[in-house]
Amino acid sequence: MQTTHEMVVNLGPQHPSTHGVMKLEVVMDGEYIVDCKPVIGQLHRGMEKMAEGMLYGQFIPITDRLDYLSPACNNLSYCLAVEKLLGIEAPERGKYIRVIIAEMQRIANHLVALGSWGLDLGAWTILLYTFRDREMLLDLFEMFCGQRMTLNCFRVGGTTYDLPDGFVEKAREFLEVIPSRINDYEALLTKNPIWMTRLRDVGVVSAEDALAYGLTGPNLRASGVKWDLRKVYPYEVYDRMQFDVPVGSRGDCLDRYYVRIQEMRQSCRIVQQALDQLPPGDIMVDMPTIALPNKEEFPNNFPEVVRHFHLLVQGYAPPEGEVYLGYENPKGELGFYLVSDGSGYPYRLKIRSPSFINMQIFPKIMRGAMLADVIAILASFDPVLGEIDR
Amino acid sequence: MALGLRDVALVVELLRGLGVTLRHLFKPTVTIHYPTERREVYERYRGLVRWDKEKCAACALCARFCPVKAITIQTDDGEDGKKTVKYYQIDAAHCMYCGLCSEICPVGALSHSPYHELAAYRREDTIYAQERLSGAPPITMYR
Repeated sequence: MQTTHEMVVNLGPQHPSTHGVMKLEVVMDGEYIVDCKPVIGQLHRGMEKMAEGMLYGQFIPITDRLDYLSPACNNLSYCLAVEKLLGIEAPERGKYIRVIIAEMQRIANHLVALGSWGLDLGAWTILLYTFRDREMLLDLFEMFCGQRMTLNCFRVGGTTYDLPDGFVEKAREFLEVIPSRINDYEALLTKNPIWMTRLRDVGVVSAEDALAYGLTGPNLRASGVKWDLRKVYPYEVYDRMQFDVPVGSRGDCLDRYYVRIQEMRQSCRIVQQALDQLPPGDIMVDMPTIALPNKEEFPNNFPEVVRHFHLLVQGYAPPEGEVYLGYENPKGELGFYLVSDGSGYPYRLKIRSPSFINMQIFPKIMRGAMLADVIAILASFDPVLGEIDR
Repeated sequence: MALGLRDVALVVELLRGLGVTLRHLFKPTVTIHYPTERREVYERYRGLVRWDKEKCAACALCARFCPVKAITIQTDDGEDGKKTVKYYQIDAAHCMYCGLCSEICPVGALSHSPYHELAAYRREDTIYAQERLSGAPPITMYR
C-alpha cells in the first residue's frame, strides 16, 4: 500500500517573500499545509528594555525602528502616549502637521505593502509603480524633517520642525496625482484574473476569528468588523475629518487588498482636509517644563541655558502612574503601555505591536492551504519584522 | 474549445492592465543614472554630522544625550580655567542620523551636512574624529 508522509519545509528566515527575517516551519502533506509555525526573534533588539535606560525624549528615534515602513506613525503613537502620561496636548498647528505626516506615511506604507505583495505573487510591474509614487512621499518627508525613512520628526508636545516653504504646494501636487495612480494599480490588479485566482477565498478569516485572535487594522476590517481607532477613539484632529472606514465582507486576501486600496483613498481625503484647515500658530506646546528653550536667546539669558541642560540631562518627570494608548497604525493598533515611577526614565515600556498579534492567526488559516498560498497569505497581512521582534 | 463569455471578460481585464503598462512606456523616465547623475538633497537633509571646533563649548551634552552613544568627547581644563575639547569623535557607523545632537547643541557647533555616501573599506574609516569632523569628508570610491 502506498502511503504519504509529512514533510517539514523551512520557509525563511532568508526567504525573499517573508518580508524580513521570519521563518515559517511548514509541515506539508504533498502540496497542502498541515501545520505552520512562525519562528520569530531573529531581529530582536530589546527595545522595551532599552527604553528603561533612556529619557522619554531619547526613545523617539528608536521607535522609528519598530515598524520601519511607517516611522512617523510610531513616533506619533509614542509621543501621544507620553503626552497622555504628562497630561498635555500639542498645539493646534502641531496636531495638524502630525496628522498630515502620519496619513502620508499610511499611504507610503500601503504602497510598499501592495508593491511587495505583487512582487511576491509575480506581478513585478506593480512594485515599480508603487515605489515610484512612494518616492514622492519620501521626498516630502525629506523636505519636512531631513530624513526619508527614519523620520524622528515628532517630539513630546509637538513637532520638531514647522512645514517648510513649498511643502503644502508639493503635497497638493501629490494629492492631485495619486488618485489616478491608484486607478492604475486597480486596473492592473483588482480584476486581473491571475490576481483574483490567487487571492479570492484564500486565507479566509471570519469576523469571530479576527476578533478572537485580536487582529487589528486593515486585516480586521477586511473581515467585516468596522473598528478604526481614528473613528472610535478620535485623537489629534481626526474628529474634525470626514472619512469613511472601508470594510470587507469575505475576509479573504482579496478583501485585505481592497481595504488597503480604499484606505489609501481615504488617507488622501484626510490629508486634503488637513491641508485646507491648517491653522497658523505654534508647533510646540508652550510649557517650560517640557519644551526646549529657544537657542537664540542663550547668550543673554542664563536661566534658559540652565533649563535647557536640566531638560536634557534629567528630562521631564511625569507623575507616577501608568498609561496605555492605542493608535491606528497602518498595520493595526500600535499601543504603548508606559509605567512611570516619577523619574525622568520610564519604569516600564510595553509595546503592543500590531504585526506580532496579527501573525498569531497564521497557523489557523494556513492549515489546508497550498504552499503557494502561504506566500499570498503572509503578504496579505503585511507584517514587518522590525515590529514583530522589536 | 469554444471561448465563453467569462474568458472574454478575463482577456479584456488582462488587456486593460497591459494598457496601463503600455501608457507608461511613453512617459518620461523617473529614474536617474546614479553614479553619473545625482539628485540634490533638500536643505534640511540630515547627513553626516559636522562639528565646529571654534564654536564648541565642551559641555558634552551631545555625548550624553545621543541615544546610541555614537559621540565620544574628552574635555580638558584650558589655561584660563575654561573647559576645552581635547578629543572629539563621531562614529558614523553607530550614528543613526536622528538629528538630536544638532537639535540640542546649545551653541550650534553641530550641524548636518548633505554627505551620505560614507561607505568605507575599513571600519576605522567610519570614525570621524577631530580634523575629519569639519569640511567635506574624504572621498571614497563611492563618491
